[in-house]
Amino acid sequence: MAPEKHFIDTSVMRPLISSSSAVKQYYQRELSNSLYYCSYIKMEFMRGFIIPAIDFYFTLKMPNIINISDALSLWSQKFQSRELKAVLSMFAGLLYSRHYDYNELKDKEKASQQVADYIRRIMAIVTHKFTDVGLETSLCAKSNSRINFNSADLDRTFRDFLNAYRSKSHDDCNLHLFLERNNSKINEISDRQDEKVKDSNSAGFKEIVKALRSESDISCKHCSKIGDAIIALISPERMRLEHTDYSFDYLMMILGKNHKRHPSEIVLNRE
Amino acid sequence: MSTTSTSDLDSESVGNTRGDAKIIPINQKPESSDLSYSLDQTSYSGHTATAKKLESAESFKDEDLTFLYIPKSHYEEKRRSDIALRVIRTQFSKDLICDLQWLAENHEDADSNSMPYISNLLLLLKEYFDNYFHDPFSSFLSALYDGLIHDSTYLSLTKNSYQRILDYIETLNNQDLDYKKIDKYISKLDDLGINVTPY
Repeated sequence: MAPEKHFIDTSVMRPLISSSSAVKQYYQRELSNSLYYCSYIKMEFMRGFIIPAIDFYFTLKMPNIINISDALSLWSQKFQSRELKAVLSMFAGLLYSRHYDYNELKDKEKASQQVADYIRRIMAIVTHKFTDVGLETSLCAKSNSRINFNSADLDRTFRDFLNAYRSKSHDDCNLHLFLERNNSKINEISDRQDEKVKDSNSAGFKEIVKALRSESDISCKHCSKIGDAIIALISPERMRLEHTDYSFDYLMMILGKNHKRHPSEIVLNRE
Repeated sequence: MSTTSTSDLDSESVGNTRGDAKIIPINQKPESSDLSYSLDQTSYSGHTATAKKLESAESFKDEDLTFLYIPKSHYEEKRRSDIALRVIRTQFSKDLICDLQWLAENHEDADSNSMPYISNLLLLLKEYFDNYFHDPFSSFLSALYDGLIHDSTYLSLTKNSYQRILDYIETLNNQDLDYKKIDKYISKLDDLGINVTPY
């Protein structure tokens, strides 16, 4: 029997790429090597993980940040979202392993180089581990942004990437076409939400339905709110969607598609 | 087991180790014969000395410089630094291979005999990526370092895995490197079960 094919949601993609061996071993037991994603998930991964990682790189480069300790403190005090905390934890681990002096200006430069190299390495592993299913490739132009790494000019490397990523305008966005094409399924999600939602883990799902029903203009912000619904709709019938978010339990149930919710990274590390 | 450090490499020995070649300390102005040797033999320290001499070339008369022609173009400078880096990379690779060779032949999990070789290996890796970041090779060594130290993977690796790492370093050392090639070999480390993105 052919091994099951796994369609990897952004919430599983990050721990599969960058996490402790305990987490990776769990996924090795759970998943075969047939791991797939699509350009929309790649875009979400860049938006939620790579862009904040680049933000951390530039935090380290700030002239008023005189050492590694300053950068880590600023990040931990000011940025509280789940994604930003994940970035902090990742780079704290990386820099700790280098035994740099957190209070020395000279080690700040080395630290920023190592952070840049780690970002590049993550992108390399993404391409190596996952196969693009080639679905909805024109949905978001941002998914085609690439980092052209130049070790002699790291600032420029990342500035060029950010400029290219952020310059993709609404003209390149085809979300409205995608929503039109999937209108009947979206209506089904919206109509059947009450009959499916019975427990207390439905807050995220309800927010998605609310955003789907709203008359908001198409924007990156709107897109990020309904991201799980978009991924549920793209998820191929012949694959199992792998995720950690409760919202997919409802979305995939309504759409009648195969899926599995995995424990969060915190739970896996605790176990 | 080799213990060459970068300070050794920088100061005098790189590229000047053969036969009757004269060693030119980096901070000493070369004689004209030293200069011609360095151009012929692409010596690292010789190049630096040549560059120092050229810096003061303004005060020379044209006829003083007729015995050599060195274009001061960016390309030429880059070529020279590439050669210097290659020499350093080769020396480091030899030292890494020396430790890996021992581990590929003798390493056993839960055997402390490997520790001196593992320790030296990790020190060399860190020394290289801390000091030669601009070389793409450093990216590979940095990934290897992270993979080895995470969860003490250096203990659980098999002899065969150490042999594969040795092969990768040997192969990479003999190539012109770009990040595409490096990424391919980082992926090979991942395939070996080495967690190159553990944080």
